[in-house]
Amino acid sequence: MKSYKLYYIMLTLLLVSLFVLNICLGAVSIPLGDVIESLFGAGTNEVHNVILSHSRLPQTITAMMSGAALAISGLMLQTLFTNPLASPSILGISSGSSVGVAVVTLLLGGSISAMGLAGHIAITFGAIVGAFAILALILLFSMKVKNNVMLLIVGIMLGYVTSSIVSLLSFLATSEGVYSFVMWGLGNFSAVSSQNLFYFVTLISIALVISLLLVKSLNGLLLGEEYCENLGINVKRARLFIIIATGLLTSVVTAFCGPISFIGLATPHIARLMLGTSNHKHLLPVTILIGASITLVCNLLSNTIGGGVIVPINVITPFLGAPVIIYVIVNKNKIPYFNQ
Amino acid sequence: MRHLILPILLFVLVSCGLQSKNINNNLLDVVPLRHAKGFTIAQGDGYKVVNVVNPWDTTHLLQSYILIDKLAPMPDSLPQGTIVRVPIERVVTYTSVSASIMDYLGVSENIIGVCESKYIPVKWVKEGVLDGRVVDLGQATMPSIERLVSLKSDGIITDPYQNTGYGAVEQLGVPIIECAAYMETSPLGHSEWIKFIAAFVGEEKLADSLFAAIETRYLEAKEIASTVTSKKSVIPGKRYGQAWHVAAGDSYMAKIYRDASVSYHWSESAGQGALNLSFESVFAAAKDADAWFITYYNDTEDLTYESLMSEYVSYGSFTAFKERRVYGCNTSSKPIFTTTMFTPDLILKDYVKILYPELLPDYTTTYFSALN
Repeated sequence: MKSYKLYYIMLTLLLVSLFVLNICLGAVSIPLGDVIESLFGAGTNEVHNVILSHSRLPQTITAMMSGAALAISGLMLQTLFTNPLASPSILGISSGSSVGVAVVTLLLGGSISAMGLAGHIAITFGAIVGAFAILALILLFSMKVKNNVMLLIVGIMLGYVTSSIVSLLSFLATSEGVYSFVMWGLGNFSAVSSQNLFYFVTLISIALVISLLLVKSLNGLLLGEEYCENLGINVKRARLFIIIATGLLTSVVTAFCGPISFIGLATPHIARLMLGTSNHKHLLPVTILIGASITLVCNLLSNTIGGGVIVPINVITPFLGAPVIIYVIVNKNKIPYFNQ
Repeated sequence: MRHLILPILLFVLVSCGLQSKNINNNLLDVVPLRHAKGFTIAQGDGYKVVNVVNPWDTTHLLQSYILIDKLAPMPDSLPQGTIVRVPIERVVTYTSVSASIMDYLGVSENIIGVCESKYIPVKWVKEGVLDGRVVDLGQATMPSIERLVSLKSDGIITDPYQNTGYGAVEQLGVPIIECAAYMETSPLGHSEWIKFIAAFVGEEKLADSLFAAIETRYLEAKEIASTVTSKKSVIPGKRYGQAWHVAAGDSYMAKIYRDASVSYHWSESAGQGALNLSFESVFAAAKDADAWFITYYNDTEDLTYESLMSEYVSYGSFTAFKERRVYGCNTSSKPIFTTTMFTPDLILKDYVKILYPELLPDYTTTYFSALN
């Protein structure tokens, strides 16, 4: 029996280090002593206190939770559809969320950030409805279309349809509304203010806990539906819970932070390549740790590489995610889980 | 050697092509412009040459127009360029700025077609679209070609954008007049583009006198502001997504701040556009700024302290927010981007009045008002 303790320790240390770096580094240089004092409520520099408590800390927590949420969504979708290229963005679920957000923002003519918590609730609701609608459609098609590649193509087609709806809404919207929507689409971990952070973390945490309770079902689904039922797992109920968890995770992150690309697709592969197992007992927590670490790297780069100028999150994620997917595709014959 | 023939030939061809677009008004009487950098007007024998400088590569021209009076015979020899018989009397305009300039020059009735009429604050256009005298061609990025053809226009006025063409519109044989006023980086330079449109609609003298009046008013306001001994500082705009756009040091707004005697933190930054900064950069630089100015569009409600706070809680940490010194301009009711061309003095006076009220005791702000 292979021990994974070392991976957990290393990844937890990496996550903690990245968390600390995200708090310490940013566009404004803050001495380490000030950072520590400020975090313990003893800071005397008001500018540093505000930057740390209202900007860096919520942004770091948001990035970390978003990474965990998207990564685990990707893993569960890949298992549910027995398709290693499934992810919230590839299957059109993020696009479904975008339509929900577009309907709320562009049709109502307002700016996303100007709507406050009530606006975020409306947007989250829109994103959830959009995400679940696409998930339900994908699931419906998955019963008819057994070929994985074909199902992916169905997802891509649904993505085109949703993009076309977004284009139409953008075409009809005001320039301010379109601009606001475009900026939202670039990804933004600073959109969750310290006020809204509690709701964001609570929603994501609930869905993460549901996901972690699905280990047995996910492992069962890897063996196929019949074996799964023979193991005493209620497949329909398992599918429903997986869909609820992934839909909630994807839509909440998308509503607040925009459609963040590649995290959901690439992270489960990194976890599988690292662990060399498809056992979700280890894959789920490791995927969470890696996903959270990757988004913390992205957030750090977004805030620091421009020398004070912001680089959008979705400019960075493909540079980290795409090479992983290309590696997996090029080496698929050598990767055991890809051929199961 | 034969391997070199093709590259040499290409070089010669490209050089000839570039030469035709180089700025060269040496043989003509240049009409002096006082502030605008983006266009030139020169008088030839029986024609005028109006050149538009490429805003993205100022060593080259974007367009060269040869303006010939409609009633005059065609001169024997003409320089290269797009021939336009003036004054143009059946005009299609894609933008609210050019429609507003025509209105300002008293020739709004020459407008027969527009794009996105709901954004054009011109009475003739608003009424004309309703009763059919003015045709709405739809989106400026994708106008209805069929309607455009049926209008038989003698000139289309539009804003140029980098690396974008006009598609099938270019094939209609109607001159496309590219009014790059929005790329001008000084307030008076921006206003001087009135003379550009005036050259096409035959209202040069009126434009000269109107611009002279604008210039006088602006310089008077600037003179008043220059008496300030202790400059006050401002916070510009607010966040969009992750980025807070602030005007770069050579931008239009930075020049307004300079002329209004504002202490602007980013006045020395390079560039004519905007800097995309993080919240923390802006907060560290402008936490204790004296006033906060936000230009925004919202056709349902005005920005308030409450909505600003609910948008991003950290806004409340600025001193200007705590001390209720935030001023907003809702462009849905105050079309600052369109009218500031004719009244740059008023935007300047707004800043002076808010920051140094003692200098303009009798003036009431036009665009900005205190948030509720």
